[in-house]
Amino acid sequence: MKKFDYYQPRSLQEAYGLMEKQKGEARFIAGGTDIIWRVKQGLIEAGALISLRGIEELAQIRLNGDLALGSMVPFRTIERNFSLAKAYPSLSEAVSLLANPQVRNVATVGGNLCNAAPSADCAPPLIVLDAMLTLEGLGGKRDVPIGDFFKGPGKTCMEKTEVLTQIRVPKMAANSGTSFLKKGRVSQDIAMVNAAAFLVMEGNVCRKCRLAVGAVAPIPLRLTDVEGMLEHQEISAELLDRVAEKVEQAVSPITDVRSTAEYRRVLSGVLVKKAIREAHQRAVQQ
Amino acid sequence: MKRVIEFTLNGNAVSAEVESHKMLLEVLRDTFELTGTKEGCSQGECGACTVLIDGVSINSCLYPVFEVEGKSVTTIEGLVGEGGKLHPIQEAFVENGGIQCGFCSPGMILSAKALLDENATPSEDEIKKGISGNLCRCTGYVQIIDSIKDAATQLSSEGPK
Amino acid sequence: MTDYTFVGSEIPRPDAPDKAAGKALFISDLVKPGMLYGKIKYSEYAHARIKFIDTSKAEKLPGVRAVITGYNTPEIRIGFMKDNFALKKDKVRQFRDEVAAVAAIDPAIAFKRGV
Repeated sequence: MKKFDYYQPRSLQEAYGLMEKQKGEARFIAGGTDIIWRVKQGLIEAGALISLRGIEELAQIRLNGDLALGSMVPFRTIERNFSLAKAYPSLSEAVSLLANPQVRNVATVGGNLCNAAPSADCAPPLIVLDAMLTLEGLGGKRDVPIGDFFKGPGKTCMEKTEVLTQIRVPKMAANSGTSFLKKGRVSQDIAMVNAAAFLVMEGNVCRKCRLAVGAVAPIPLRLTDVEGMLEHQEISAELLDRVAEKVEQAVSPITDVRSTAEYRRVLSGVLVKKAIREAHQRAVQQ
Repeated sequence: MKRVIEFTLNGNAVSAEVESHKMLLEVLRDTFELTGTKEGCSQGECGACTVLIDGVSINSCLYPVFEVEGKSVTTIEGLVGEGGKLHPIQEAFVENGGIQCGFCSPGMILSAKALLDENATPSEDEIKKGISGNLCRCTGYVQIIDSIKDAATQLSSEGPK
Repeated sequence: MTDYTFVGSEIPRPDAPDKAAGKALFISDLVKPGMLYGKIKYSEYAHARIKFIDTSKAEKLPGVRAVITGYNTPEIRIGFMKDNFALKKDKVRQFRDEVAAVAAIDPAIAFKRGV
């Protein structure tokens, strides 16, 4: 059982100062539900943990057409935010399917993204919603589109001394719809495959499409090639079958304790198809 | 690093000198000798360590103890009233066969309390979602769901507390 | 129809109230003066020959009171058919087969050497 110091800064500046003083021996911690177990086991080296929980500016939500989501807003708050669920159902659904109530009461979107598991449930919805992430450190601020954020399993483009402070999601266009689906063995399981879709429709023709799928590649995967198949097309069962085939070719799943590569490959196609249908329905209902 | 933290525990103001790397679970069991809260998986998946912090259920095995400063913690022992009288939720579990070996029960009962405090008339689906973070190896969950339904009825007939 | 005393009736579980109250004591809740804490070293391999068990580091650690393996304990046969040993010798036959155990004065020390 490893020992570590624990700091609770009240402001971002204080947090950066503490991180600098620790000279690389510290890690930022959000809800802690991903990293505490690994720190206890010694799988993560950390002489000190710097908690972001006390930094109020990181826990703000502003929903005003578009969304400015503080990285430390707990899932609990997002789950219960009716306006957010109406505006961005795929994000709300992903959050409510994640882990279990006790974990959701302290875990955060920021933590989920920075943990960078290929199966991160918050990733596919935020990818298809074109999220912009704000990273901050002693060196200043920078905005990173979510497409450039993930670099590999457990790896992001962040410096160890940076904090993900905010996730911004643009306003959804009229006649658009978004959806999120996840398949796990049981409830509270990590996804075997998860998928999200975002469609802008004009009648029965798809004007714009963004698709993402997780747990089947080293990072949560944007399916740009597949999107091309749908844009400016009428959505038909036949087209969706071809889409599913293309998805199966685009992913590179592995076999692990949760599922086999073969099953995941087929499941990716199925979930993307279903996500498209659901997003289509929502776009039309608008 | 060590620090003296002050918080409310089962309605009482308490303080303790604790180490920075300890989780709330260890401090409750070792320092305060409240062994009702159990250690199951240490990973936040089984819910045996569930306690309420400011009324919200959390896994104490993953809760850094420094974070509890100034907050109000309720453990299973805190649900027992004057003279050892069981809380209606505890009673409901006893009467409906919701307890077999009893290891999951403290966590399960507290999750039920958090659920019923927020939603006094949960549907069966809402009950299942509410306890989805608590594993039970004995009952198969049916009697637990029955216990919570019964508790909901008992609590609503008692009126708001 | 025969009248039964117990069959068909609801008998209250005598241990349920204490369990509901968090009062019932499980083994991990017991604390006795001078008690030791044990940890078991499990095999990470599903099927392997045990070539050598090095307990020297564990024995040297202050606070460790005993380090046992199948080689320094009497052969205790366990299992329904008495066909297994508590601590394995020569071969491990499943993932998490018990290989060694440590008893120490506090759980952190036992964990350190158990791992």
